[in-house]
Amino acid sequence: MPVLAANGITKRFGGVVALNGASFACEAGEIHALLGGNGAGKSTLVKILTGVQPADAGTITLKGQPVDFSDPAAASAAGIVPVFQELSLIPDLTVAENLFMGREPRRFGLMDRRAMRRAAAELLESLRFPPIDPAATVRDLPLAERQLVEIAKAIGRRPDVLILDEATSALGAQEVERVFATLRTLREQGMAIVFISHRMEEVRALCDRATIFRDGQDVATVNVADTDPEEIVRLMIGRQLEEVFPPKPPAHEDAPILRVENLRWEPALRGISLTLHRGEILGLAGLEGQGQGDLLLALFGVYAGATGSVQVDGRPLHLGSPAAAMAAGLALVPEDRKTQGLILPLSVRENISLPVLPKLSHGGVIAPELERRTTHEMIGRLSIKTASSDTPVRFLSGGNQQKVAIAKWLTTQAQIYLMYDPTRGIDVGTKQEIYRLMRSLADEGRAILFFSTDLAEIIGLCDRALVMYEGAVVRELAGDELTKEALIAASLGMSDAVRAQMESVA
Amino acid sequence: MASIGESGEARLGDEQLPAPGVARLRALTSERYRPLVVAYGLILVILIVTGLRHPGFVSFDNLRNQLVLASFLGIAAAGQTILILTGGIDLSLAWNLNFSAILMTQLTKSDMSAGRVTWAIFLALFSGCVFGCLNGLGIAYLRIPPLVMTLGMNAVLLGLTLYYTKGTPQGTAPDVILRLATGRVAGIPWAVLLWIVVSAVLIFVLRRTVFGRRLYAIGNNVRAAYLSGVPVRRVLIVSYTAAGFFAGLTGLLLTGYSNQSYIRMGDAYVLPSIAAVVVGGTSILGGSGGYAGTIAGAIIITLLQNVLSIENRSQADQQILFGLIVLIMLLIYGREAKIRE
Amino acid sequence: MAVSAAPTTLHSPTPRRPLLARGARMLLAYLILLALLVVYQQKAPRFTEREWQSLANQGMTLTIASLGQTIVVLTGGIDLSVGPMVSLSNSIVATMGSQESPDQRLALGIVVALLAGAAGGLINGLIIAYGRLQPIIVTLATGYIYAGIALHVRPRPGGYVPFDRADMVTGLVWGKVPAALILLLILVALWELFKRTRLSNRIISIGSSQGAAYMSGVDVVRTKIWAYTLAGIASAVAGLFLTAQTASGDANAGLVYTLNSIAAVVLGGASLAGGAGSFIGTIAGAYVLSIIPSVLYFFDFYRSRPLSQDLYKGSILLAAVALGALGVLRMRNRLDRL
Repeated sequence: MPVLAANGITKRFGGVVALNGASFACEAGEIHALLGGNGAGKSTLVKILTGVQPADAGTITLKGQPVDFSDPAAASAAGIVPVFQELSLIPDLTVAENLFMGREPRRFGLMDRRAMRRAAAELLESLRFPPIDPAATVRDLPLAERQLVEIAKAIGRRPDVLILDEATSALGAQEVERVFATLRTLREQGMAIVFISHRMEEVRALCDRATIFRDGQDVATVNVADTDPEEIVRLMIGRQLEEVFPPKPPAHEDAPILRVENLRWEPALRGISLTLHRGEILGLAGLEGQGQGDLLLALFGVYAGATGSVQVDGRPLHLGSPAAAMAAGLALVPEDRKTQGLILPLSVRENISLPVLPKLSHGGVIAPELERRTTHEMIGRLSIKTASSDTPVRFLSGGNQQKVAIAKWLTTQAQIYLMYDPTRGIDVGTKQEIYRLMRSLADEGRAILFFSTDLAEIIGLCDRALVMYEGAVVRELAGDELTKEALIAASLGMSDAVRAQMESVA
Repeated sequence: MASIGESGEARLGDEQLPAPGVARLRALTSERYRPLVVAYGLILVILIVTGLRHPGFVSFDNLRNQLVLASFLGIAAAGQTILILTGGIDLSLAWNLNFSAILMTQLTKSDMSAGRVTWAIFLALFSGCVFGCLNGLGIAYLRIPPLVMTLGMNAVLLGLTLYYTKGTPQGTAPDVILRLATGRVAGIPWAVLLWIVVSAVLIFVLRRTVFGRRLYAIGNNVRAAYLSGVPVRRVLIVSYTAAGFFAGLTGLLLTGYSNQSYIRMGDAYVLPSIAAVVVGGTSILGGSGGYAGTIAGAIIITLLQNVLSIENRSQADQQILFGLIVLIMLLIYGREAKIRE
Repeated sequence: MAVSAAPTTLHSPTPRRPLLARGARMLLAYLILLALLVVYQQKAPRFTEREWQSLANQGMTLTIASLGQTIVVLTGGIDLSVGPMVSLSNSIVATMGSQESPDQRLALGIVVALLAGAAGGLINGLIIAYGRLQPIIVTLATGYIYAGIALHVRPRPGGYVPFDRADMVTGLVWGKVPAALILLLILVALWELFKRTRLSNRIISIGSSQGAAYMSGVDVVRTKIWAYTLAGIASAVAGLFLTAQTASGDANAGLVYTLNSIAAVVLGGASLAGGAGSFIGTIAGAYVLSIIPSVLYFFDFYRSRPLSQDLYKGSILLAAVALGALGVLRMRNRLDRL
């Protein structure tokens, strides 16, 4: 009997289905990988298993008993403890205090810090982790050590099921080895471990079985040792999506509009060089968090201390502020439309006109007719579905919000569009509209630099793609090279040997 | 540019939206105007209930006098409104206005010539702007929390005032200021006229100008505003400078009203100015509300003080009622904030 | 298969603490305090236990009031009702005092004052936690109410406070040691005790990162209610000391402690954003603000204008926070500078 089983889990966010009847089971004493592309639903499943979010439908059983967690504390008390990438550590408390949060050793009713520190040292020692001072404040630790503490905190609760969601992403090779050794020991002791990683090689090194997710469903569960990596990649990709992309123009060489040389902002950006041409949609591929977002922000003038040379239409651009980038003809559709792209309580009109207010005003006074006309033009052009231009943006659906986030830049006549995953969490119909809009912008001679977590978009939409891995461009793909296999292999940081092996099999 | 409209309405629907008319009605009633309806409704209730008990309360003379008093609070709260809209606050109002007032009377105590008076009034208002601007610099560049920055500035100004006057300010209000605060034209008090002008200008600036729009953008979401090219620091500094100007102006009016400047003349205006803004429906978190609400807030607070003194209630009861009104208004308005999260 | 060699970090580096933030700013507060004491000692014609007693008493009320403010600021909140609650406690004790059976009346008054403080803090906490309203405006409103109640209790300054009892906390113990210093030591001990409770960790947690605290199973609502209740009790205790100092009740006497307590807490190194701060630092902040006038009094430029003390208090506060904030200018992500 599996220690943890999820059956037919369904979860919707607005109109978007994140999980569609997904099932998964994990035995005691195994390390079980969850694999899948971005948006396949594995992170949502983990959040449901650990009580962070409720499921719309489906059942979860733990040791044969049905469970329904109201919050993370309930899941943790029942024996399911997660380690997330976004840390659950309290920055202003010490390592020991964090490790024993909620179950502090006490004497006479008071916390016994000395005992806590001793127990923390023992715990870290027993896990054979690199030495970390239990009395250090978490805020002062480097990210890798914080991640180790996070893992130790979870293990210290002696859970029946330990879930690691990208929990090793900040660790170096040696640290990963030590964590793996510990996880193997825990497996021997009968713990069930669910492991999610974007590094395929880690999965192969550690996991017994893997369940592969695609489009919100589990498509297969395999024994990792018996399965070739290319088989796994194929399962992750699945069937071809219907063609939803506008046709690409034939290959042509237009004048470069943006030239970036050796752009650095350590450690997120490690010397990026690229050229973007007029009429081109250039894709940034790779798994999330490899520096794509940082590249866009740096180009838009948000990162102080970014070095390297950037030229727009041959003129050097000083990366000093978004206002300067805008003046040079850049536009940014940022990662998080709710906190960076839009001002949700303000109206559609106020959002669309914000970047272009000086042009819609005379002597600092906004010309209402001009503003209204501009807004209505955009609402019409992008088919933004809103009750009126005075409706606060937060009342709009996700897809229409995103259209507003794009529309505000069309008014500025921007020449270079930097877009971070502009179709995330949007229904298919709206996605297609956005694709067509992007292509039409390119056809008008503008250029788009665009990150997507969806490989199909990179392949279907882009003229060319750069694959980023850990702050650098590791591959450039264009034309026929632009395939899922090539993108995934480069994204996972697979060594050339593995790639050669895969290609020979294919 | 190619249109992407051909995809059709049917496929667009991510979620069901209410019919346009209904949504507009809801947006108008709940969003922008509900606090105003509540606040102005409360004024009406106060007028009716108290008027029935004390007919003298709703007499023309009394209401005119109350409006004069409300204009002082209203002008003080003008700066507070601007700052609270940006997500900030001004605790230095009390002594910024006091320092301005005292500067004017000290400068004119021995020389009431027109030139001297003009110079003194200019300096008094300028001083308000300078200290406001200093607040803005600390907040915009060093990211010192507005509460701390203005609290510290308040102490500095208090000390400066007492250093400058040795505790006994001298001089009286120049005629022009006296007339501004207490005089009338065609039966309408100059102070009320000034308040109307200030209100009109401020409402216009907040609703119709680039600066006003940027203020709301910053108060709602400073990051999104910055990423849309809003010069965040400049807007903040201008806002704090403007708030300093209104503090100075209030100082001059209060001096005119009592024909002297005195120590602690501003103390009674700090918390009421914040309360007036909040009672008027502006969110203390910034980004929503406006000066139309603050006008109602200033009138409500002034009328309540008047009602309680007519009713012969102690200052103690006034304060308790004050607190309760603010809490009740918060709970009425706060409901919507919750949904926003 | 070999594990891929990855660099140690992918994301932005650990945010460095701003220059002079946290511990360093507390140190700065103590350095200023030390400097003030040295100047005082140099300038004072004599420096006996009497002077110690006077200095210790001067900062005591603010220190106790700021203890409560520290706890609230640690949660990321703020309490603008501190001053009114000091007034309320002061008014209650002085008004309940009586020449007949003074000790019993005093004891009763103290109990009622403490209960009033606890109730006031509890109400703050309940409204803030359950109403999900902003602490600054809620406590502004409740502050009005508490100040009004204090005025009801004590419409005019006065009341009765037994001198000998007042002397017990403001005088000298064994004719040598200022009682206020002993009280201070007791408060430090209580603070150390508090720091060993789980509650203190929870309070820091919600101020440091409310999301992470929730993920770690912290009950945010209950923790906030506790924090404001403790602050109310501390304000009441501060009111008791104020009563002992002034030997009278005055519904307006406590009001200055609202803003001064915030200044003391900030000067002592706490972050208004929450999560960081310590009563130990607050003590220095409170005493710096409280003894400045006594020290300045030895200087002619000040003696000629003895009312300008706030100029120096405010300047020190602003200078300290400005130094602490210089780190902002070095932040690499401009969005973090906003």
